[in-house]
Amino acid sequence: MSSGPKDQRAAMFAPEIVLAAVLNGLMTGAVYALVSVALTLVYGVLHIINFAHGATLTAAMFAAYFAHRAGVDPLLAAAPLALVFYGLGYGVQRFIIGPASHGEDRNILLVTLGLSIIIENLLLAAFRSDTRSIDVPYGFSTLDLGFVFLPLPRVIAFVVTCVVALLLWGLLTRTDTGKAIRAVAREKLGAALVGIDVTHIYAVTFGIGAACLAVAACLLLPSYYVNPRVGNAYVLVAFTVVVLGGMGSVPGAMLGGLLIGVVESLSGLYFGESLGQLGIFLIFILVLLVKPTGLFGARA
Amino acid sequence: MLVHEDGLFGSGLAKLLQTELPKRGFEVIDTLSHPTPARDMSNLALQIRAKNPDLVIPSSYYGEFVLLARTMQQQRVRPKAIYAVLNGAASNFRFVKEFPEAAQYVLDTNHWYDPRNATAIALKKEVDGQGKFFTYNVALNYSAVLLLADAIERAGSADRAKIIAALETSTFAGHIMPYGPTKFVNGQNMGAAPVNTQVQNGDIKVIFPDAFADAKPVFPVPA
Repeated sequence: MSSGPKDQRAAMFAPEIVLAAVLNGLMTGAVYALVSVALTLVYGVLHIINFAHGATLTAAMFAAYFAHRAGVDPLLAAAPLALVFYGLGYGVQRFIIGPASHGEDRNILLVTLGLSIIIENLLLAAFRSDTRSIDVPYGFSTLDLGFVFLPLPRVIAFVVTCVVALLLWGLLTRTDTGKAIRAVAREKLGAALVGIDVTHIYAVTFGIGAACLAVAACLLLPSYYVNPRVGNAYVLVAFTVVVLGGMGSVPGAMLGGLLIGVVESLSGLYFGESLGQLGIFLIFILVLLVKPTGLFGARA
Repeated sequence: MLVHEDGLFGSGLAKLLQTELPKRGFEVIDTLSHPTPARDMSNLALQIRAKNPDLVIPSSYYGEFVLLARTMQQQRVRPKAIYAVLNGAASNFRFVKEFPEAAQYVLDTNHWYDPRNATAIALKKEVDGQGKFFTYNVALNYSAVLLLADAIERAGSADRAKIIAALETSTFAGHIMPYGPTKFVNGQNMGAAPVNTQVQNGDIKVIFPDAFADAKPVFPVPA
């Protein structure tokens, strides 16, 4: 075949390949960031780990899949699905998780774990374990930068994630709801005393988290696939991102997501794809050892 | 160039190919592995392009192979052929139907129905008619049930030991797959024979061996 072992090793480390890997990592990282923002927001405000996060992402991907089957492009479906999932998230927190927790955090953990099992198995019962993917007209399009072909669906995902992050930042810093969310995150009792409806804010936060997942699902589907277990592949990474960025920190989750994407891509390149996650979990352990508060401390 | 998933199936097959291919005049220039599930195949595609192999030989499950084939297409990675071995997607009608461009000319070695067998053709028509995909598993499972039915009839009883004894002496030949008579040695079916398939214009054709082929191979893949 065409080249000897020496050329191959050199070619593997050629700058354009490394650069392409970094860019690919950034694109993948953007989706990690979006999934992580949703997780960290819920943690920052409700102080719970939402174990149903992966299952919600999977459900959203199925929703996007069937939207596409019904003739709606996933990117166009993102906004309406975000609204639908906001409603679902709000309802689940307000009428299921909240009442079932009886004010105890460990109950919430178990309830979300139970929810994830129910959601995943409902999806399994309804759609079986088949892997499904969609073909959109722009699915194979690339942006040719001369030295690298960037897949268009991922470029779109990157841009949309940035827009969503800005919107979220605006919501949290510029609106009364945002102020209320931050107040509840910092001091629940104090917030309640000044008249903030904590139960409502909890549900709103949970809803926003679910809405972010719906957008992430719509961004993933054009270049990825969906089956009833697919969300879990993202959630483990999201946990690392949340710890790296600082539990509860939205900017931390954004930056952490991008960073983890690049780390995964480069460690995949240098250590082989099977060990691509090695870098992620090394960082996870290092952060816990050296700076347990993460990059951005623990502020929401 | 071998690309395999890093579980038992992919790794085992890659190891076998690494030892057997050089004996048959193929140089294995590199072996890349990936996990299942994999979220991203861009790095693999980049490395394949950098090494520019004649053949890419992937052994992975459905989702990952589809991702790899799509990423290779996206990144303009064009080897002379993709020659899959027992691949989850390469001879799967779902893949061919959903991604006709990425699937075009993909070769696979797999167990397959005999395209010249009347029973097999009728069965395919029936499965297609139900709106389901006639995957290789359908032909395999159908054959397995035929084999079992034959053993039960010869055993003349539903007794487990008798059925196993009947299976041990089986010479069942009524297959819908291009198999020889089923004969078990150490639990392995000596009559089993995979064929080579190739995706051609939205269909999966048998290209080798000639006795069962219903199309000619297209190699190298036109640019």
